[in-house]
Amino acid sequence: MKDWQASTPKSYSEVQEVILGALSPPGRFYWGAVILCLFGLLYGASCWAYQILTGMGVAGINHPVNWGIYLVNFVFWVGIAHSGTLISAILYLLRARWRTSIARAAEAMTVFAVMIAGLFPFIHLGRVWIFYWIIPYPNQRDLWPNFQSPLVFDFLAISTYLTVSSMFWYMGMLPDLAALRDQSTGLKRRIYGIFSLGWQGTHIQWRHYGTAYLLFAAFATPLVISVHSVVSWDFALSIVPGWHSTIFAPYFVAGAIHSGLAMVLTLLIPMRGLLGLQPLINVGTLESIAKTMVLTGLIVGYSYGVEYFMAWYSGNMFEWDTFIWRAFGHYAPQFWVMVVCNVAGPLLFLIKAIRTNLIWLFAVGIIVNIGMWYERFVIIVGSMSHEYVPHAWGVYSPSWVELSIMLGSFSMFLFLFLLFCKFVPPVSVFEMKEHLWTHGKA
Amino acid sequence: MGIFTSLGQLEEAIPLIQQKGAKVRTVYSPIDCREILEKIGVRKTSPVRFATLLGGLAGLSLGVGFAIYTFLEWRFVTSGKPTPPAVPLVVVGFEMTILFGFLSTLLCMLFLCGLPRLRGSQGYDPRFSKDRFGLLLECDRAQREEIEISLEQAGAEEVRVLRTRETSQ
Repeated sequence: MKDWQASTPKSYSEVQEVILGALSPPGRFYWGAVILCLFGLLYGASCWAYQILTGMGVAGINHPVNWGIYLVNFVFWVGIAHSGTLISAILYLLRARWRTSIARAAEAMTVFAVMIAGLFPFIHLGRVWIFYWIIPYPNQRDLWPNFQSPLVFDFLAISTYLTVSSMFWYMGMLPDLAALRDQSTGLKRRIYGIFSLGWQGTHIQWRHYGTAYLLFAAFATPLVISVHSVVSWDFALSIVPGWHSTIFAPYFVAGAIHSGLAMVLTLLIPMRGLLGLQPLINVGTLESIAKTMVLTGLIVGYSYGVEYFMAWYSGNMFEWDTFIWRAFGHYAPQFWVMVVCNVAGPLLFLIKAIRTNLIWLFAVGIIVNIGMWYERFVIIVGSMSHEYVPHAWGVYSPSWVELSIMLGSFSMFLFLFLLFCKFVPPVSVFEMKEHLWTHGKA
Repeated sequence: MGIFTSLGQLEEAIPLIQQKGAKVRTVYSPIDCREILEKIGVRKTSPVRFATLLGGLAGLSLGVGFAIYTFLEWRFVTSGKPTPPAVPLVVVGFEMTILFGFLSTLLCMLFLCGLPRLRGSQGYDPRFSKDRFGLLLECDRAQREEIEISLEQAGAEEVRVLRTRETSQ
């Protein structure tokens, strides 16, 4: 395979040493980053506590924009998660070898992103203590959740996705946790021993594990399509101009994969450098991600175009007016940032020199992340600001509480990812060893 | 127990050992090695997939059935559409199919793998998770020396005797 270069490890023990070497005791820079992220997380959590105690009035949410950046962040983080599952599950089924070195980190990104996404409905709810009303159980109110509501679909889809993703990620780590157990001593050995569940790599275990892992990937695959389609229906099943469109499901799924791939680049480029994983996560792998982003960027751009075409072709004056306002109204800067970052940015990857340059890869990844965040902002806030009745038009600005909670969510994500990098193998050890066997090098 | 440094050597050793009358009890490996399953007479496919099917069907039935029950219990008519409505049931049924199918696969896999395992098994060597392959054989005491020589000839880096059993009279 073209990304299996001469610098890659040539024996099983070399592979294990390179990957498990990343778990060596970290330096001050690492701990500094962890503490900084922890402070950000605690700051965000304290702002949430302030909101609970004071009331939702501290957020900028008000008529007519009743869904603000809490929902923007919810959709953003769910979208980020999808690429991890694409890389770890879908590309596994398609036998794309280049995914092996990045699948573990990508799946970790998925798990953390879904966890954070799941927090935002609670944050947006305000009265967090009544969240259980959405759980279907016999109750004294004689009520059941309305299964026709997309919000209930969301509850089912996100909880399913979190369960499946986290178990898929954990099960994929079992043989590697056993390897860590076997080379550790003392308390570490005990902890890894517990988490490895006593895995020993017998032929019986591998037989059932191999079949089960294939089935896990097969289950995770439709979730990539279904979960973000369900999230998109939170909007598409309303009658708000700019939301009520049949393109929303594929539009959101493509956008999710687009933003997730960008986040994979943003995370993996520093990770491979700081942990010494360059022999395994080579530029060819990152180039494959960049090429995929060209495709997803074009799909997203096509979706933008189709939205405008449908708004015009439908003859619906409210829909058309909303889309004109998006491009030239109060949120026009955010709209154009969205278009440039999401569509034009990834087109730079058509140039080989750019898509094989780490600095450009990282920069475009950041640009697309920003653009995709603004896409959700423009869709959610932009549409609610400019609905049917002119007297009900209004603008929204996030308050410091909302921005602080958002900062807390990003801090939490980085905090969890940093812990992941140092406590579990960031690259799949046994799958990389299988590569050696397949390529006849061991 | 023969310890090998490569999967290829172990694959070649298995038929040689079987010809001598020894029975392969366990193969330890740091990687998934389906090629040897046929050689030792084990089917490659796992019965886990039946648990997947049953779990998926159970999830579909539970999800759709429960949603229909709630619609009939509390008729919430929206826009004159029928109750229970068919389209929302697709989403509910789909998600529950995935969830229950996944969980049943997981539980079945853990059960068949014998996990969680609280104690190590006889013959397990920590190097098996790194870069060594183990071939645990069962043979009579009379055959022991012959099997040891065969393992060494097949390329075993190390040969250990763990336990013997008396030949039946």
